Amino acid sequence: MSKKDDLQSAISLLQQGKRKEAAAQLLSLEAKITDKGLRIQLIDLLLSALDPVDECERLIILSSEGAKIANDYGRKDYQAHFMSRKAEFLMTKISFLQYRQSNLKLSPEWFEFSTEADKNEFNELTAKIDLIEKEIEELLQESLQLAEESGNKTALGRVLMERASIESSRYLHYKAKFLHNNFRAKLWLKFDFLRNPFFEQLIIYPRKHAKRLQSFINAFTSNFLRAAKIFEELDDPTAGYAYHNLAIHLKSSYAFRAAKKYFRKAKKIAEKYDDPLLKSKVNELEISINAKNQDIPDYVNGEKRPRNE
Amino acid sequence: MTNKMAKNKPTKQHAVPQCYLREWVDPNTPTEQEPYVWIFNRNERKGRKKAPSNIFTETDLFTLKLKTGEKNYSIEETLSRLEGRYASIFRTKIKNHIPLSEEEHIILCAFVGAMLQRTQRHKDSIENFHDQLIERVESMEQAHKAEPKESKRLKESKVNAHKLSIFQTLPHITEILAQMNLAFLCAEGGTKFITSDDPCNLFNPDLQWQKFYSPGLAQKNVQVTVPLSPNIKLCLSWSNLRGYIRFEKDRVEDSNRLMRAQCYQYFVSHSPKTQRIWFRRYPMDFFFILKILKHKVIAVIDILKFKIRHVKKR
Repeated sequence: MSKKDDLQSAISLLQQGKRKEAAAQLLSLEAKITDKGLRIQLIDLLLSALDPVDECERLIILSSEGAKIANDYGRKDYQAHFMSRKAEFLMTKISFLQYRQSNLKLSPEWFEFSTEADKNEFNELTAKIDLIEKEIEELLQESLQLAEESGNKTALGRVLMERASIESSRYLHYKAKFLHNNFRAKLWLKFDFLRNPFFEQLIIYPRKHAKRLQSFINAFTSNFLRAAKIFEELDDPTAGYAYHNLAIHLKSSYAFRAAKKYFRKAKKIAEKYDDPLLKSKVNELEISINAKNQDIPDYVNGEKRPRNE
Repeated sequence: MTNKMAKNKPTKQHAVPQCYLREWVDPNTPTEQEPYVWIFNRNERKGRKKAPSNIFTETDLFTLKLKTGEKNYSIEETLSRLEGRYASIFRTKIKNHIPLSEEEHIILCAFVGAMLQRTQRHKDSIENFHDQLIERVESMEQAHKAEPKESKRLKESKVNAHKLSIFQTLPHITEILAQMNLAFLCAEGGTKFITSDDPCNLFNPDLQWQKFYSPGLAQKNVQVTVPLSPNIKLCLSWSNLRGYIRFEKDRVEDSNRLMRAQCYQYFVSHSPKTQRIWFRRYPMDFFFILKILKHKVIAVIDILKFKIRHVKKR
């Protein structure tokens, strides 16, 4: 079997939702494929197949390589795609750094570091996070510009989707950071209705933070909707994924009614194009929305959920 | 000259260091008096005034008795140096809520490691173990009509067992403690921590409903706590409890309850006043009381099941 055929079989595995098998096959090809044309395809597939939590560092390196190859070929649309993917993986890295950072002063009654080592680590993490945040912002701006310049609407739609998911991550980070108050956190945990964005921003968060949180929600919603519109105009089923992802992020922000609205749109598109992967994702989403965030996986303690394996 | 040297020898040795106990000196001590702390018998609410230099002491507690009959004070001297360095760290850093450097962190852990082992309780526990061993070996020697060589060797090793064990295990304990997360719990609302003749406690909440296993440093949820002064308590754990943390009044009193319950014979306070809660067996928490009832019911059911099975077999 040629390398091209191997790639084709990995694609079909991915389409069947067999990520694990696809990832194993692609990883075995990684060292063998040196031709840039094939390598860029391989990288794109690896970005979809590898686990973004376990393989975050590898994905960052791969997406950088993808952007470089695309630049060598003068393909602005591909370059924009890889750059926006890199921004997304960098955001995952930030989540881990922020988790580590918050553990250094976890107690609500904390007021000073006990060791210089903890203090230094905290400062180093802050500097690292700031640097990555800056890189993410630059990548997003450049990728959007490149996608627009390329005239490739699909690429633009994908960049907008990445941008939206990054805004959603920022929303969650910001929310966690300012929920570090004993009394407010207790209220938030105790009363379900207070988690709804309206009450959350009215009661739990001070006005300044509430405004910022809403701006994140607005940003990711508008980016997803813009992406969905582009794909709908192109008659591309990716519009369904844009609605599906928007519903997921709205669910994470406890806006269940809005999440259901976009879930229905995603379902409609999945049925229209008879897309098996989107159909299965939509089914999972329905269960997840109905569970009302009571089934959030504990990734930190090593919990794993099957990702269409 | 020899007499002078003999006088300088540190024969009066503290199971709980003096520099540590000095933190509990009553702030209302009259100026003409030697500063004192309040010492209480484990189950009594009436305390006595005592100078820190006069409590928890024993002659030659850490003095090694050599085969030549000479006395060696190297353990006491090493402990004194460690106490001196700890006292300086406490005074300059911990008391002022300043983060510790790596070296200071290790010294603090070494001090805590020594505190775990230097107490009267630890000494008695090691010596009791030796006594049991000696008793068994002697009975075996008698049964086999063998010469009492082994029992004699054990009796000799018992003399220095506690003293030597402190320094045999200290590097390992310090290494483990230094890997644990360090928190200083700072008492709020005018409440103060108490201490005892065995101030360093290991507590694992997972083990509190059974009597078989003891807490150990490698256990996931173990906590090593030592009150360092009436205002600050040290807590080492594997959880993410780190930093200087404000500790509410109720929690301070509950930790005092545990401290009193876990002391060997005496507990120490900076004032003659005691709190009723210190003498309670269980914390004043409704849900915790429910848990106790649940475990008691389970225990009774298990006993009944065992009895029924036993009767059926007979």
